[in-house]
Amino acid sequence: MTCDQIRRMLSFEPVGTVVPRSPLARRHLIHCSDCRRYWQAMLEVDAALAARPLALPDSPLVAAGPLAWADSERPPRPFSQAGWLLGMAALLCALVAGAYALQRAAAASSMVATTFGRPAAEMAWPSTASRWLSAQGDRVAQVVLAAMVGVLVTLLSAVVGFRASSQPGHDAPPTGDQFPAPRP
Amino acid sequence: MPEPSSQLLARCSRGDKQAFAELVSQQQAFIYNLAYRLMGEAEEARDLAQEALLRVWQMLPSFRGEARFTTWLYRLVVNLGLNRLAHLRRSQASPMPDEHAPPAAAAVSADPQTLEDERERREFIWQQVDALPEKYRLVITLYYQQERSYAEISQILHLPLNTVKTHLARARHLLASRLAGLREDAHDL
Repeated sequence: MTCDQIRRMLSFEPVGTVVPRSPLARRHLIHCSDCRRYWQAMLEVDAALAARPLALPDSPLVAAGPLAWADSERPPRPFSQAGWLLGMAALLCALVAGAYALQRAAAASSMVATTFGRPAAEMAWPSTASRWLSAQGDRVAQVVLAAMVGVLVTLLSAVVGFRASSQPGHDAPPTGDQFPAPRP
Repeated sequence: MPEPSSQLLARCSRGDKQAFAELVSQQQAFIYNLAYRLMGEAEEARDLAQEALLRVWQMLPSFRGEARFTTWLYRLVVNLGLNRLAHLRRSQASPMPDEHAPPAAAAVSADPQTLEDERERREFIWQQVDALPEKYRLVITLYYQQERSYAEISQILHLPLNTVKTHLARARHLLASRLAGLREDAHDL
């Protein structure tokens, strides 16, 4: 192998390796002073890079007025946990109310079907159809009403939760430098 | 390399500004260092670091903790930095550097004869790192200074693991070759 190939192989040795793992590279280093110099330089590079200090800003990135920009910049969280819970409770109430309304509508419908103590099948068809339609209308109205109430209550609780979650914190008002806006 | 506690991150996510100030003071040196190594200029690095902090504040509620926080944070800094660099290059209307061209060696301020001095030698190497192409410089910074593993660098830079290893090896090869070359020059004098 050429010196160049050996050096490229050496560059893949894990950082911190003092003696190359490759037997081929080790044998080459015994005989080649240029590559030995290269390997020595590689070890020094590793040591120098590991010892390189962090570049530090002249002054703290966020100065005396910490996070003065925070309230205006952070997109508000859509719902707080309390808002979600309230919404879920309202939805549950709406579902229970809807189920109750449906049950009542079904009871009313069966009463209509047995009006005057006769089974529905024995009644004349126009009046049967009319009563059946009326009962179905009642049932649909009850369901729609229950659903509307449920949606309204859910929306209301969501709004309450949203407003509660976007309230500013109780930190002291910022003083001094504010966080500058980033360049476009 | 401090990794913030999950409690601190949770408080930041809930909008606790004191907690975020604590997070900033814990991480700002590492954020700034990465920004500086990427941008190569203090003012730009400061702007980038501040923009990154602002984004962290905005995006923390969406951080799901699938990766380490610092990995997520560095990826944010790198993405913002690369966007800034692309914007700067476009606005300066300068031709894009050839990614495959060998990087030009930095001007050597050190006298080769004094390279035996350890401090001089280190400064020479650091100077050479700053002259490396962006992709090598980033890998070097993340590996040695930010103490990231290959896998984490791969996540941060969106590069395959083997590409990260190759970048690091090439960067070390370039630096070692330059140092060895300079030694030869000093020896010849």
